[in-house]
Amino acid sequence: MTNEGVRYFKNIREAILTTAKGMKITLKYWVKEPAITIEYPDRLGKGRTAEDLVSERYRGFLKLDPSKCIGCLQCMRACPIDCILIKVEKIGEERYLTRFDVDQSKCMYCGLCVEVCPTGAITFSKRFEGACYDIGELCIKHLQEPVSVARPKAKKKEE
Amino acid sequence: MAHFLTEEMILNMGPHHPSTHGVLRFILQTDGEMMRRAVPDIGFLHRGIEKIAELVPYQSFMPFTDRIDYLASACCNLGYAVTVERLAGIEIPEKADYLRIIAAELTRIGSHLIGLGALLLDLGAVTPFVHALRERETFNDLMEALCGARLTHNYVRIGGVSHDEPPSFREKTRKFIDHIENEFIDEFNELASFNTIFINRMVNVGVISPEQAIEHCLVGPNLRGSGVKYDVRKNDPYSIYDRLDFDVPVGHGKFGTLGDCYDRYWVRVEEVRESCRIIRQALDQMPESGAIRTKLTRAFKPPKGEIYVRTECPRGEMGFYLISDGGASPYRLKIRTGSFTSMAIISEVSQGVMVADLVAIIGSFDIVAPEVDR
Ligand code: SF4
Ligand code: SF4
Repeated sequence: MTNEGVRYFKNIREAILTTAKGMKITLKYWVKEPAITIEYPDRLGKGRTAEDLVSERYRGFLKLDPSKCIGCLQCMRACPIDCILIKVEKIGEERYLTRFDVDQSKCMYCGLCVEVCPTGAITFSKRFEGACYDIGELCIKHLQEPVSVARPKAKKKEE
Repeated sequence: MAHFLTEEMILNMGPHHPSTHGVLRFILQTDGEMMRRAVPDIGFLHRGIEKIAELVPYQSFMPFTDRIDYLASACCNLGYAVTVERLAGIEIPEKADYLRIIAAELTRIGSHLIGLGALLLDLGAVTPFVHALRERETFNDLMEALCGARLTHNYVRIGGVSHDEPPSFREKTRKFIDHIENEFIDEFNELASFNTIFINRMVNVGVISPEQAIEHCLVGPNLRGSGVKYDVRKNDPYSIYDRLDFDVPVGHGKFGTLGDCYDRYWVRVEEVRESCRIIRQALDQMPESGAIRTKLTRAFKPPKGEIYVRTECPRGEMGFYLISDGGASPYRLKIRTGSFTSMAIISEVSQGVMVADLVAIIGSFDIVAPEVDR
């Protein structure tokens, strides 16, 4: 046989051997390892919800505790893409929070608003499943009716 | 005699092509299977990040740096933070420095895992990509526990970091790097890197000589793949890299010529090991407790001036040129990235290669499309 021919068959042999080496590893995982992926969201395990899958610090949808908010608007100013809208109005003597909307479809979950909030009124929840049919549903209105603005000083006395 | 078509054919590759890693377009001049030239057409992912910087306060620009290179967001965060800190002369707590380095090096591992896996995927090997993604999942979990996000971390802040280490972070990170260093890389090499078919596709393809690499301003692993020992972490240390002991792997023609696709690939494999070494040292040296953030004034304004700072990202040198006019947001911020520089050399190295080899060449540069356009 010519040199060419010898090399041809050598190449075939080499290709088979090197593929077999890789296959050995694949086979090892196929036989030994339990499944690494889990079927989401149908088979999360008993009693587990999607929110149990993520860690403590997970940055999901924003949530608001209206009783803590002092209406300082710092979160609104810190947000780089203006997805928080807050309105504070004076009704009589009291100041009221009349609007607190967070547009979760724009939010990039950066956490700057949570960081600047002096009272911890706005925080992250673990919710991340935001799929919906209308993008307007993602603009979450946290206040249904006006709430009087929390006064940090009065609160301190209580404690 | 039959009539043959003899003129060159212009072909379009991309913008949506499985092997262009995002929205990238190449205009190919082909002569049958041979390539005359491949001209990149960039700009599909231009989002005006540099312009946004002029409109938002300094601190609020941090999440946008995530989006420069989404595979290595902590590294980009770090680069921007170091730039502003140097300009404003902000001291940062020691623990924050270590946490930053750990996050940046973990990100480098995660980014290289994708880079290596995606290159193999482009060449038709699906299994190694899945193996690489499996490991990246652990990295994602670590970062999620650390800062709450899996992709766009936004972890580093001007003056420190956003969160302290979570409980049992050190053990988990140690376990991860031990696994990568002792088990994963060897297995990955056996599965893919030392596969003869893969080697034959990679060696002697897309050879870039050291002189050529320097001429074209290649950076990062692409430059080191051509045998030039240059790493910003070593040559112009920022943060605390001067306290850590690590090597700079360079290509040396492992199976073929110096500076071929395989060398660039192999440099990345070796860099994963070096990153593991860096993380291990940083974990050992990191103080148990301490402050993690220097508080800035609410309306933070750095002094007038300009500065250029370069940092080493997984795709090479990332430079931030910042001009401040003393206002609340930058007067101008120019970002220089590694993927952009490697786009320029593609039209040169692609002359006279086969069309199928172009995929190997593009893959070996580990290009991330958003980083090209910004
Ligand atoms: S997480 Fe970021 S983007 Fe979302 S509302 Fe807060 S500041 Fe705005
Ligand atoms: S949520 Fe926090 S930062 Fe925003 S207005 Fe209320 S108190 Fe201020």
